[in-house]
Amino acid sequence: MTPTLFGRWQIRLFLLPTVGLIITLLVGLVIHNYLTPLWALLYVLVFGLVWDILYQFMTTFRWDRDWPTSFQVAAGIVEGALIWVLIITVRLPGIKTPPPFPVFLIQYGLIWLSIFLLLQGPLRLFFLNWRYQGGQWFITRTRRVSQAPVVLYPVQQQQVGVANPLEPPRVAPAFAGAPPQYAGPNPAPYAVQQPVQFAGPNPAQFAGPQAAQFVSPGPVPLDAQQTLRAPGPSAAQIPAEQTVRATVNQPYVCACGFTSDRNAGNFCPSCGRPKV
Amino acid sequence: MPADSQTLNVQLTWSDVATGEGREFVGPLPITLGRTAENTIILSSSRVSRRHAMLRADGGRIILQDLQSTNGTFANDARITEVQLTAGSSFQIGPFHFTVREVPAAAVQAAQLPATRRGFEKSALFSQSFLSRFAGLPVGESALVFSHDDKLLPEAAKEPVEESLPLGGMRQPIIPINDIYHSGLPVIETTYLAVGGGIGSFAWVDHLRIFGVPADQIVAIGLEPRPMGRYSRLCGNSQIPLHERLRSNSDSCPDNIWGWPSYGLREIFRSLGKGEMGNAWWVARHVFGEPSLTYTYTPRSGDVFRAVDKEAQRIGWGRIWRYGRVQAIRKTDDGRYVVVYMAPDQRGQMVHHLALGRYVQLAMGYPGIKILDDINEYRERTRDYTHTVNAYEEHNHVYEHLKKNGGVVMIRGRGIVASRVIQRLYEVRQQNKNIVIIHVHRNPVPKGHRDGRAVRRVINHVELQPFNWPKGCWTGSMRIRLERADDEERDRLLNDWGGTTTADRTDWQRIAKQGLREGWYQIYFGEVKRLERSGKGQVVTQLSTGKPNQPELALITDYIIDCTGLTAAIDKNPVLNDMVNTYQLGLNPKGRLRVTNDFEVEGMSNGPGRVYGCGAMTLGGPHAVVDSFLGLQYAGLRAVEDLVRLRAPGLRKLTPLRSFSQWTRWVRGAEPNSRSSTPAGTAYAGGFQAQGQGVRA
Repeated sequence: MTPTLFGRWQIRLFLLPTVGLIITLLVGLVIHNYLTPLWALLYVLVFGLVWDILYQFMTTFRWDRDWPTSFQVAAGIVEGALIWVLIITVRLPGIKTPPPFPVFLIQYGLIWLSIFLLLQGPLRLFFLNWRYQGGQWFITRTRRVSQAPVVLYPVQQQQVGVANPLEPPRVAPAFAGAPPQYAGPNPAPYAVQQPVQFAGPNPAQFAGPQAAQFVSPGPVPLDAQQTLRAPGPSAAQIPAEQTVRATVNQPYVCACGFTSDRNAGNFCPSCGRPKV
Repeated sequence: MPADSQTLNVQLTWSDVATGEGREFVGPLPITLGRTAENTIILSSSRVSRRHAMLRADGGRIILQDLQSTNGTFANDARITEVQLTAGSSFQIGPFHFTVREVPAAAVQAAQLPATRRGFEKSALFSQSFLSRFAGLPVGESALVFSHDDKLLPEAAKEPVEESLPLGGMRQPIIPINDIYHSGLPVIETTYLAVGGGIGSFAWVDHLRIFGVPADQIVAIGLEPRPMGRYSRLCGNSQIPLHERLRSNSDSCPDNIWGWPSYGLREIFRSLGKGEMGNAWWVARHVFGEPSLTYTYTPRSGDVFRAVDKEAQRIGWGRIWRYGRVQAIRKTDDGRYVVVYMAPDQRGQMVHHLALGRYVQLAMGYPGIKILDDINEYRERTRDYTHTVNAYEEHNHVYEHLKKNGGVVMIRGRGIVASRVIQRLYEVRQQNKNIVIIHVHRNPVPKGHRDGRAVRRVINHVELQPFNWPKGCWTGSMRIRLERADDEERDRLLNDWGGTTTADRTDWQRIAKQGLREGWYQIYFGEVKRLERSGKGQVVTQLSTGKPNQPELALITDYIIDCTGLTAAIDKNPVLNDMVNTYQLGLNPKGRLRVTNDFEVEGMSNGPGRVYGCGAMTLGGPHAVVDSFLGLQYAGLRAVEDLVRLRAPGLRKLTPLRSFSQWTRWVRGAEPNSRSSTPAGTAYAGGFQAQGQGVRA
């Protein structure tokens, strides 16, 4: 798992108040002082959120944008050391008297180790998507590339709106609720098509070899028609449960509710149950 | 405007950075190169300026001029402002390496009319015109295409697909369901239909099973009974025996959708169990230290194959898979899809079969092996298939002969396969010292790709990277960035991140260093003009180096091993080509199938029916690492999650607790539990058998 910045923050914000809190309370139980370990936990969380920004910045210097295990360990040591130094020198608010070093070491070490081990494996067993999302539980997903339905490549653009009585642009069959109409065989793949000519550069666009300022060559002329390719209806247009049913001669209603032709196949096309 | 007599025509050749497919431009000077649409050649990369460079004629000479670009134009490893180019010389702009050559005017005419070469390459028209706006015309690339019995066929031997289809050639885009039932052909009906039967199909089916679909609702059609059948054979041919390591991450486990325990962890435990402390320590050190303290751990191929076979057993792959060579896919008029495939009937004759499914996943992988044009031409001319081989072909005779007699081997291509072959040659060389390796590159790579602040490392003119894409493309920020990008940005990012690389393995670097020092490993740069056969049966390579002091070289070698890789161009796959033509599907900037972020093939939805894609056919879409183990699993996961959203039968959301309980079943080797549609005890309990008899004659 290669973390993203939001992934790093979410890991901290979810794991420190859960796993971290349990370990902190256990440490507090042993030393009969809950407040100091709780403050230390808070500092680990708050400082960590800032550290994460630095870590993520460091990955931009790495070609693979990754965060090796060895870096994870080194970061854990540096973070812990900084907090300890601040506790004993600056006297961080909330921690009036520094706890004994072994107490801090055990608390911090246990928290770090348990989170490290959770990240290495067990978390994925519960959250299948988590590792693909750079450690994020919450992520905004776009199902489609927004501009995908319109392929706006210049070669194609030129053909939009060009009246061609012989071959109007074909649009893929739409399913707006009605059974699909068979539009006849599609001539496009079988008709003899003229090869599209690449017209190459136009020397007239250049006033001379040394012309530094270019005149935009404009659209490249095409001799042959370019077929327009349009996508099918978007998922939003089609209700999930909508089924286009063929006319059936002898209806067979399956236990799942799907009606199909009794003589057509031995299995329900919807759920796969055998026809009885 | 220059007069016609002064017009110089040139041919520029380069390759697409992400796909490795050749590109060519032939035309008169002047030619401008840059990122924006006003240029003659549009180069999509953040390292290319809007107006980057210009090629112009000056009294019969070709002048390359940098137009004050930010990142510079390079020729002969030096940044230039203006330089005269000789024929065959190369220059570099961003990640693109160009070779320039002067051509007579007649050749320009020919090149501007790309003739349809063979029967079903008509669709190339679309991608050619489409791609030409971005990066020149694709070169009519040579390829060896896998045939139905999975031997390699020269391209000319392919048969056009539409001539042999049933149902009147299936010329309609939508097949009436009654025609299918009354066709007299065997029909199988299923809900989930996986086309391909390889690792991509397996990843999707594995997710379907774990998300709750019973095995008797899934059919996978392919040529190999084992999901990794073809992959393991290609590994063997390209010199990855079972004990060698793949180029794959420790937690990319095609046998385990959770990726834990990872292969590294499993190998440590296995080694400890066998008492092999040394290996356990080696693995632990590499898993922990990768990639900064030591090179990256990768699993042994044999371990992966065994693990996948075990998982295939667990999910009932034997009941799901059936033999078939897929020919075509069509929508039906009841919101499903029909897949036509060839399979033997009771008498063992190959006949058409039909499979009906509501949700189809296409995972057809690489349709063939890429082969360099000059080698292909030589092979067709001389019928010499022993001295020029492709690394993915069976070519053990090369090593056997070298072991006995020694000789000179030329290696073409600079990827991971080339590294493997050199390693194998090094091993053979331990037994016979009379082996010389000549490595020919088209162009030097003095500096690695750059992306923002990061630079890719280069050793011996080969770029280094643990995997075939930067690691952040799998699960990190790069994956998310690519998914959210629009088409043009995806094209640019793929060019910036792509390119041929090899793994940063110290043993390989030691071999190269030792070979260079001792002289038995040599590197040459240049464009191969032609291969000839010498009297002694050796192959003579005529190399034009573009260097003024030594423009031509003739290299005499016993063998040439082409390590340029596999091809996944849509027009090389008859099934996809036919589908794209029939449904007028859009292609992405890399000329591959256009898929949504859920890997649904755009334009193929049919009422409730959906078609999903995965693998190399979707490169240029939302995911860069489509042909990796983890990339295939990701495509499978996204497709299955989309199906959950569509409330497809048998599927349920994989809640954290269900996910964990399914993982415990994986640990125990128990079949994924599902709400079976055929309750045990009915006459149809053996779903596989029953469906087999359900064939309609």
